[in-house]
Amino acid sequence: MSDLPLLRVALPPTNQPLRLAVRRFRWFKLAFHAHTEAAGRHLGCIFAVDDETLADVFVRWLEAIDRQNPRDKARRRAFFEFAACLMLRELISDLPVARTSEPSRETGSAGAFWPEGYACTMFCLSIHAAAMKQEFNLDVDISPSVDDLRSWWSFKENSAENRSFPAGFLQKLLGHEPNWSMPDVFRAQL
Amino acid sequence: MNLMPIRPDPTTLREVLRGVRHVLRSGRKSLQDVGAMENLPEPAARLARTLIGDVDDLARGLDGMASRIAGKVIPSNGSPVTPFAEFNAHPQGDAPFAVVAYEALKKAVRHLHARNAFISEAAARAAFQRMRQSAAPGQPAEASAAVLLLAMLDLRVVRAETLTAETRLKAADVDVLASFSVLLWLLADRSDADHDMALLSACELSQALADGILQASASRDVDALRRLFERYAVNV
Repeated sequence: MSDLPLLRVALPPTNQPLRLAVRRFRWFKLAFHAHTEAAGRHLGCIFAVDDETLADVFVRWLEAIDRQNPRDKARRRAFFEFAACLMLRELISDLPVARTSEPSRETGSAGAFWPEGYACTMFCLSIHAAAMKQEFNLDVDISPSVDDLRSWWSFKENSAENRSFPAGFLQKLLGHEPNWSMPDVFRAQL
Repeated sequence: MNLMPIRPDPTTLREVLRGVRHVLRSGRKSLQDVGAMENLPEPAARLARTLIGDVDDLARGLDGMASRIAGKVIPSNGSPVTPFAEFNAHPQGDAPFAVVAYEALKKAVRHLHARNAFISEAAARAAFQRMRQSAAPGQPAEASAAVLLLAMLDLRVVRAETLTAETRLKAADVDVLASFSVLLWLLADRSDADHDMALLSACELSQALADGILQASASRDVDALRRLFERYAVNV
């Protein structure tokens, strides 16, 4: 796994497997708040989370994964990874988080360039990494491009024009080459 | 001759006290809103301020008294972690359901940004009884919840009046969404440690699903409401 500190944020306690806990909004919300607070500490800024917008994001994400789930055991792991990409698509399209102060640390970093996008991306990577470890005992490798400012510039610019772009960006960070014509369609990635 | 003392029905007594409290709160709020009286010339302005202050003090005192009495009359016998199916399975499940629903609805209307709402425990109890009468044997909890929701709306269990500025909802929507949220919450797994958080989560989910919930309730589509409960109770 990459050495990104935000991938080691403590997740809220749960008696359920993470794949189920993340489908409960009360747990999802606690986890999102924990990650934005950690991102704020890391970057030296404060984030405000709009929980009602977060609920909109969460419901759209549930609908998207239910719609695209191939319900095929052979594809389970691949879809697991793809679910994180859909989560980032929904978070970036509505951004339920906004900074209330400018970053005072890590200035010049990818995180300081786009704090909100960075916080959402780290949340998706962190949940995904923890769930992959729990379900498949796999460590997730994050591409070195996660620290590349040019990637983040492209991510921000393209996401503003194309709602599906964040799904492809996360696939790239996870070391896959997405189908850029339909990066948010699971069957198009096979 | 039966010499047993007459005991008022606790639900009715609580309802009356809550009704008095609601009227006092509404009246006090109306007086506070009459800012135009501040523009009166002296000495009329001073007289009006004194009068409003006296009425306000009286309302506050009675409000506090009504709150204390309403809380003391009969201890609640429901628990916020009781599963919906348990109320449904019990022959006298209507009374504990109404107690738990009342407390949860109070919180739900606040979460949904209603400023002034009257919640009727008696109507919640009657709605539960009405649902029972129409329920098929062995009906799943989600189907019962869908029928109960429509009964709660018909009997006006929640009557929200005004909303705070920071909401996209109308007052009539709050009646529907608060009732849906509480039933969704009752259908969801919850514990002593997280039932409040689960209720907030149910309210936020209901707001996110508002279009579908409001459409299904307006068209009295029991199947659509049942599907919403079935699909989202595990996501609270």
